[in-house]
Amino acid sequence: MMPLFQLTRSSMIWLLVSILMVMAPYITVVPSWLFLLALLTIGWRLMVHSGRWSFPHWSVRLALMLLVLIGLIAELRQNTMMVVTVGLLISAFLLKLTEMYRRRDALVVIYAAFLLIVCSFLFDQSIPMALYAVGSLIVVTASLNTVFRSQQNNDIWRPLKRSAVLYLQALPMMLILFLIFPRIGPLWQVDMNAGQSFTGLSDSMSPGDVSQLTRSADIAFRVRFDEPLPAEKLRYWRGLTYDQFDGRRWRRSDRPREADRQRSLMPQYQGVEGPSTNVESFSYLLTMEASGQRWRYGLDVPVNYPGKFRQLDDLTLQAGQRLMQRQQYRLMSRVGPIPETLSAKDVARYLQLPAQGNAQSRELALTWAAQYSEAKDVSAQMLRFFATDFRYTLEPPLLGQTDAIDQFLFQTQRGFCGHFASAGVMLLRAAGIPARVVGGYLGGELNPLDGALTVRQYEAHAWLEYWDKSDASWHRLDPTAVVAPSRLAQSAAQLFSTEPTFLADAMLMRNGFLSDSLLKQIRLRYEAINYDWHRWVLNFHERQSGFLQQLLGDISVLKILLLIMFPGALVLSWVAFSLLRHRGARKDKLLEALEQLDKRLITANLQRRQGEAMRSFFARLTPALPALASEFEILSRCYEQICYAQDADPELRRQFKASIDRCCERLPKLHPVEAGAQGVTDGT
Amino acid sequence: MRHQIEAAIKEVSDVLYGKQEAIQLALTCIFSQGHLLIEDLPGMGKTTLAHGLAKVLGLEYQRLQFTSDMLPADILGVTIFDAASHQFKFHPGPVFTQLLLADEVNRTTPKTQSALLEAMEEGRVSIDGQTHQLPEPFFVIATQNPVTQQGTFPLPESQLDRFLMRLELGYPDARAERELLQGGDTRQRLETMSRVISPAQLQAISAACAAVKVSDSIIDYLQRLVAYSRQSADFSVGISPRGALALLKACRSWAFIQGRDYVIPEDLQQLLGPVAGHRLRAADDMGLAANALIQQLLSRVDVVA
Repeated sequence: MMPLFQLTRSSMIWLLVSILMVMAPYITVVPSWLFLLALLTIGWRLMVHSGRWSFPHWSVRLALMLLVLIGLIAELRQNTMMVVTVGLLISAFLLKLTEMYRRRDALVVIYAAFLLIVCSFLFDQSIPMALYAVGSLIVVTASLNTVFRSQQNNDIWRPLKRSAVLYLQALPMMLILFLIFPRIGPLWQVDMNAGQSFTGLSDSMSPGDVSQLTRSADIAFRVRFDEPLPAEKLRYWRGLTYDQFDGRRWRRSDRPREADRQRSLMPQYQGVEGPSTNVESFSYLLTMEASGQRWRYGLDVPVNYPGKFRQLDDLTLQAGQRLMQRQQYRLMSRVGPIPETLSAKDVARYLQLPAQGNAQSRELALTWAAQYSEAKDVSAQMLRFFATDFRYTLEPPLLGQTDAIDQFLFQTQRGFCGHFASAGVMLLRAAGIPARVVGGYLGGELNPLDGALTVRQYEAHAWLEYWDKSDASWHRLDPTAVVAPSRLAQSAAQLFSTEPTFLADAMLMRNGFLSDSLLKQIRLRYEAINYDWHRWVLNFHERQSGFLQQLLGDISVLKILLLIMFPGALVLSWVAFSLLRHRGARKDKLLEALEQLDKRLITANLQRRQGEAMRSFFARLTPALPALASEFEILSRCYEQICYAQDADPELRRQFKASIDRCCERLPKLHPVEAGAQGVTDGT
Repeated sequence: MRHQIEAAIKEVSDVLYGKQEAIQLALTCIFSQGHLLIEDLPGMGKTTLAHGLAKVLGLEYQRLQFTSDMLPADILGVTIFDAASHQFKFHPGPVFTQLLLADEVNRTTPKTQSALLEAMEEGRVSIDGQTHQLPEPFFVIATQNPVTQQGTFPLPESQLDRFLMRLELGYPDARAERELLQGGDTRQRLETMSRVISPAQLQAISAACAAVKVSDSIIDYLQRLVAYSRQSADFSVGISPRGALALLKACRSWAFIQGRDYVIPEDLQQLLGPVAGHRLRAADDMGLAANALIQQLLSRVDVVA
């Protein structure tokens, strides 16, 4: 009889710790009633372990399973597919506890625990999570270790030590595999963040929107420049442009056109611009956080960009898919005027204004247009206008539904970058100068520890660009620069520090930004480490091919795969084959026949016990099945003659087989017997 | 040969009632040319068994009662100056015999114990630079009281290992005890017992026992048992190679006594307790492995791979 598997005390403890450790990262992810289920099943298993309860009846288990399934289906929504799938794994993992009879069942639980550790990376890939996962791995391996040790051992810590040593030993192998094992793209992609909301710019903008972003300290993207950084006043990060105005909101046009690839963006027009314009180029690596949008950020005018992106005619970058995961890409940008020959259609597009409304503003613009012929001069006049009475604030007064720009320009005169940009474009367009609003970020916090620039949501910014037909180029114009010159010179954090709504959603960060304290030092240090973590661990696949090339010369990934995997597979299959053959050879024909009989005896709990020799086995069967006594005598004798007396007579084997067949035929219908009722327990 | 063995068993069971199995085991031990340790409470028939065996085998035997003040010389013999011949003369001790009955061997000090046990291992005695060969065959049947009793020096493992088997007799069952109580004086019957197996026959039987077949599957089973005893955390000390050899040797003799010329797994299961019981140490209390542990060992290791 298979002895009921009794977990040792240390095994039970470690299994429990493993379950708790493995479940913990899911607290914020899966429905909380799964944790009630965890308490229930763990409690039940503990009671079984202490001998007070027995395992739940199958009907109870079935009912539990159905309840859990119904609960999970109830949680099913369009964007919770992943959570429900993981929930299913967790509940199966927990329910298995209530039928953990054998070592094999305990192993299933432990393997599921390993799987759950891996799955927790679906939701969080930060350094603390990785460290935690290593801890969980060690603990789960410790419980795996205890399951294979039947002996009670009082030293609870020994399995843990053993498993930690195991992982230390495996560390070099892990590093080697991490470095050289080819990363193969996923066969299918799970849309993890479908339906998740993001903080960031959107494809329409009303003047107050941008100031909302200053409540958040979420990272928008990080940049590391190859050469010295661009000056603070040049750190304009282009995201998207808005060209359609309905009197209140700005939208981007519905049919974005791809930029003309032939168009040269490099500074060959430098001479035309005169000495005032400064054309510089920068190359850098940008790591963009998930935004849920298709545009990608880049410094002012991206010139070189990865092939997977395309550049629209407003010089913004667009990718094929919405950004659901952090992405890293290399860009080269230049700053300065953007040469472009606008067609009549384009000019009309950039002059679009609602048919009516904001009469006062239009009137003002027309006076400027009459006064100055050059676009440059009109824009300069506009900046002078802004520089007089306007104030820059995070909390501008609310504007009405109609004539909002008039209201802003002539009454409230207080606003955030969005107000200035949209009013500016409106004025320029009314004056007959093509213009557009540009949304993106301005600035970035430099981490002195690793030289990386971190751009956060509160640095979101809106400015404008106008097209000057005299040199056929777009020029950047930022009204904020004249209203609040300090916004360019110093970090947004310093500028906004007195505003109460600044970082209202991240009070800890607010304190960390506003003081030069230890907290800030720690934050900077952590961010530097985190940046390297993303660059070198999570996104290692992006630089691995280069690394492999350095290591192996010009060898493709496919070749490496063949090189590593083909001989590996050969060796493994050879090992597997020889193992299987060895096992097959040892499987005796006699035993196979005997197993036939054995299987039929299981229902009556008469099957051969572990460690029971054949003669004793048949001697035990004889009183239970007196009708077959003579057959049992033959079987017992033949078996001993063949196996132990080494009688090679084939007649004996024939007799044995025939007798087994007769036994199986004549075996009466056996009634199931409760285990143990036979009184044979083999001292287990 | 067979009927002589049966006759010998019958003869001994005339003085030791209801202990058929113990007698067979004791004969197994002797046919395997091993020494026997009988351990039980006083008055259970240890000495009777030893006497009976000596009688049926017709061996020259000496009985030696061990006491706490005994010295090695009391066992091995002494060299004394003979005034008449002006020479030192060796007076052999009681150990110079074919069958030595060492009664209550754990009553004496370790020093004296080791003197005997060296003789058991080497088959000879060295005194004052002189080596004296012990007679052939040489068997020791030692009895000892359970170590829990007062005034005992437990034998260390290395010395226990010299005994092929350790037997426990236990109380006789009701029927046997009734016969015992109704029967006459055992001591007198012992005196009148006659030799059943001659030394030459004993040698022949030993040779026949050694020729008993052991199939590969038995060897495999034995190896698995031994390996389990070494790996299992139940035992602090597993079965040594010498223990495994002893077990196999005893199994051959046992199978022969049972009238078979091949060993079956039941033989191993039967003899594992007597042969390996005193060589195994339980992990928890560091004492000798209890019978239950041996049964557990048997139930964990399957007969077929």
